[in-house]
Amino acid sequence: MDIIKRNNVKTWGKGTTPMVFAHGFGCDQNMWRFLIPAFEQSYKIVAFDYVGAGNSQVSAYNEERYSNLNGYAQDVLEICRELELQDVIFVGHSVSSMIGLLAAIKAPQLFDSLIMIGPSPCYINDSGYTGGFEKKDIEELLTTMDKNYIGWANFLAPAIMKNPERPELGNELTESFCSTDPKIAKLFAKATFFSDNRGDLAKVTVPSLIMQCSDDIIAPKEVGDYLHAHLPNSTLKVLKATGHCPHMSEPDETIEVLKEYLNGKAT
Amino acid sequence: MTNWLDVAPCGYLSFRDDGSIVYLNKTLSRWLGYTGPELQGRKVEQICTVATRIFYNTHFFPLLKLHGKADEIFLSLRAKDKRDIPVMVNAERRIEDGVPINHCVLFTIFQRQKYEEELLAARRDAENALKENKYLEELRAALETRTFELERQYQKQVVQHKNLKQFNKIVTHDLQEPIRKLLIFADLLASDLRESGNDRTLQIVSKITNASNRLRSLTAGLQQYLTVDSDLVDIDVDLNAAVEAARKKVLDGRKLEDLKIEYVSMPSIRGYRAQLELLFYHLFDNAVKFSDPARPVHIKITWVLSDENLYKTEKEKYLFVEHLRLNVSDNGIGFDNEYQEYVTELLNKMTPSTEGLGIGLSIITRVVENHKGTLSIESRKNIGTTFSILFPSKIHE
Repeated sequence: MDIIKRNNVKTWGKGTTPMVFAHGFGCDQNMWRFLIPAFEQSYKIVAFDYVGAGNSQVSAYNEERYSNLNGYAQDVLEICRELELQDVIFVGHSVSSMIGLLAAIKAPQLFDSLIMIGPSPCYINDSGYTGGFEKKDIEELLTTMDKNYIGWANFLAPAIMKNPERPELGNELTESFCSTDPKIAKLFAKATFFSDNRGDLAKVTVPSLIMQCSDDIIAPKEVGDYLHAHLPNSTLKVLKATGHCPHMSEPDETIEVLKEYLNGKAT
Repeated sequence: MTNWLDVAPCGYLSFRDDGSIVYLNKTLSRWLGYTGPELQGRKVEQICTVATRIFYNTHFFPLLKLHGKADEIFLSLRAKDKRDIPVMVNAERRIEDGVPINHCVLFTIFQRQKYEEELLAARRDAENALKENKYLEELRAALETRTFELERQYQKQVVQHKNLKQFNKIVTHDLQEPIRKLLIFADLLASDLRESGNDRTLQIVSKITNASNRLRSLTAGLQQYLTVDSDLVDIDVDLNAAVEAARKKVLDGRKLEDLKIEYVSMPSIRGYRAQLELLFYHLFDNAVKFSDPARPVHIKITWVLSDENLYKTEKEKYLFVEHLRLNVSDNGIGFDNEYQEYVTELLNKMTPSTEGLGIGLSIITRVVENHKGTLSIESRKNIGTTFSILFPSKIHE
């Protein structure tokens, strides 16, 4: 099994300390492109696609493995071991925050810190816990996804990725763009939104930064507070950015907060 | 002058990257049940169902931002009176005066939606049937291969078992007698020699005695190894009790005053009590045996529960169940990691200067295997050794 090919792993950058960027549900490593340039000079950059997303090898998809966030955590660990990374700064968006957390429980010695962008340990409301959603909302999301895949295949096909009138988007778009096999995307959605990692928070020994957006419906403020209260050694930072993708909507602020945390740790 | 866009038979919506609405036409306002400009400046999410809000954040916005456009996207809007309005959206992103604005054209699809739902349901049924069929086919093929393999393995094991029984008898019975005799005659010889005062020969005889004693403890160890599997009833084992029992055994066996073992209360796991006690006994005994005389033995046990794949040898099979990862570290003399496999091999001992017989490690490996666990060893010379053991917390048949 060629893990580099399987997960479409890309490494570059001028530094030695590795930063591993893990995309969230709904996209692929392209989503990091506004953030990563700020770290290329001082870090070794590692970006990848989960199996089934972006340019990964769809043939390596295993339903049993990837119906559970632990299966995705295994991807992360395998990549780290394959590249012989140490003291990894793991940057995870959305569900990848919890995937990184699981990986750091399994192999704490590999990680230096976890950067969580819009994390949530549990999306569904529970007695005494506000996750933000009811089970029926998630069922409805799955239907919405289903419906979109009728036309989905069209605009995700490589030929349509070519976008001559928008050269600023760069050439990599011609290869892939947030394309996910519909069946896989749906299973990823289930693994994501039905996960409950509240019981795992106390097990983490690696320090973490929680980046909480203002007004994020996927990870509301209560969730960030809950995480901060239950995650040992965590720092909570509330961003001015709204929505769920600050690294795309407000990359400058996201970069600033990230750098501040990393530099603060170094001194 | 009529603003044609306001009366166009489609919805029109423009919003910024932060989701704030810049413009929506009157048709869309009317669909949503709002009058006047009350939605101006509000968030797009406010006119979406919860599911659409998620989809907007995870798919629609990233797509627009990265790709510059998104076509034929299905979304559900939420009207003021909480009714759902299914719409099809085409969107494009334009930079106007340096500010990116996302423009959307929306069509309601009440009729179409019913048709699509039927299509989807039919496709789902077909897919499920196909999947089930394929799954059953694969299962059948796998079962056939497995049955054949099992049969072959069983036959092999019958032979092995016979050999093992024979071997066991030799070790536990036949070998004991000559060893006992060796010791007796060496003893007699020694007392004769002491009278005649032949020191050199006496030295040789004492070497024979030492070697025989060693042989005896070696066969005792082997016997223990062979009987590991006899404990066959799995129960919920209190690991704290197992650790304490093992500590006591080491203290008694080595005639020690104290043995420092640091740990926080561990959970129970489903397993074989006697075997787990034996496992801890050998871990601790090894730590004492390979300790550095320069510092007192200090053993540290840490643990964490985490979901891991139950299938260890089967490829492409996954079932994530709760596992206990135990790390038992000592501050002994350690060894170079390149010897790791060598270490666990039966009867290999690392340093000629120690009394180690190596059998402890083999028993540890065996117990871990019997609990469907995995073992890895990491050691640093002159610093210590850590045994990492991963057990399923319940035994799954």
